[in-house]
Amino acid sequence: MSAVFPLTAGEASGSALPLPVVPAQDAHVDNQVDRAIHPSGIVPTLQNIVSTVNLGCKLDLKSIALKARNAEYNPKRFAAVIMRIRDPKTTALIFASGKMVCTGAKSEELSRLAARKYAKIIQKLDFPATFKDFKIQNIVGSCDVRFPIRLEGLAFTHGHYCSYEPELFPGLIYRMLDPKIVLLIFVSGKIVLTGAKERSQIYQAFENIYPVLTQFSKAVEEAPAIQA
Amino acid sequence: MEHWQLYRASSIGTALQDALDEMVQDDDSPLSPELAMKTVMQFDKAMNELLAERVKSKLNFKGHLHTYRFCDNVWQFILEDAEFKLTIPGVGGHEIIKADKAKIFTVGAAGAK
Repeated sequence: MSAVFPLTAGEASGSALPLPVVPAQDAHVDNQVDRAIHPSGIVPTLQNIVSTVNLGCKLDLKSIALKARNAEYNPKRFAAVIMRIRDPKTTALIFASGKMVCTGAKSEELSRLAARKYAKIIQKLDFPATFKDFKIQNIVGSCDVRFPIRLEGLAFTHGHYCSYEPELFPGLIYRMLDPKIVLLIFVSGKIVLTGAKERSQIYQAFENIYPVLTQFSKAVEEAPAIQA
Repeated sequence: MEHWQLYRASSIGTALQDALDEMVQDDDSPLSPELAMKTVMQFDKAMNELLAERVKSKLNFKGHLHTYRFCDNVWQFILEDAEFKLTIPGVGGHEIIKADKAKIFTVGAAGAK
């Protein structure tokens, strides 16, 4: 692990130095955040990774369901075996075509590791499984800006990108075009970002939206407006 | 309507089948095999219905789920550090059974196959 450069907010702004990347445990502001990548000081936490892989052989799902542990197979409901492992804590959907979807991992590498473990389980059941075309299909991140947000104001000024219908869903849906990410923004200041193929897109989308959110912060300390 | 036949393997089920076998093989006044079969099917029906409607005792259990499986409409669970608690209404208190490992098989109650 490279050395950590503690930075104050003042030093970080405008700093173009290539600073060491420090993986943050949570999304809270702390002085170990690489401000070159995260000018806001907040690093979204990855919550879910969805990946796919082709095991390259036809599979007999019933025999998999009978022999493997922690498997569910109900062909009347769904045409795949649902299998889970505890580490990395994930769920896999395994199809007769040999294609597999792995969900629930907290990072790209853990998703790949989990997919490899599922492939190994299938191999142990005497299928000639390979590991082809592994691909991250979706990355979901979340964070907390820790101030309340005026969603109506945001929806009004960014109407082209926003869908805010509190009677249907309490969050504002913001469809960013570049990077192409969907953000769910809640009054509480909690943010969910989804639709990414790379984690950098999650980070970029959050840095894009952060200044907008500060603009629509329900300023708690602000004195009530004086009526003239 | 089809009923689960799993209660045929119980003590009362095997006793019934033994008795029916004897009656079918009775040389003096044999029971027709068809009637014996019908009786066993009535037994299946009665067991399924009575367990669903008449039995009021409750069994609660808990444990750490080690393994599960669902295939052919059968759930299998392997529990670790399992505890079963049997409560019979009207009789005060309950019986507790503990096990390091327990295997549970379940089938759908409706007897749908």
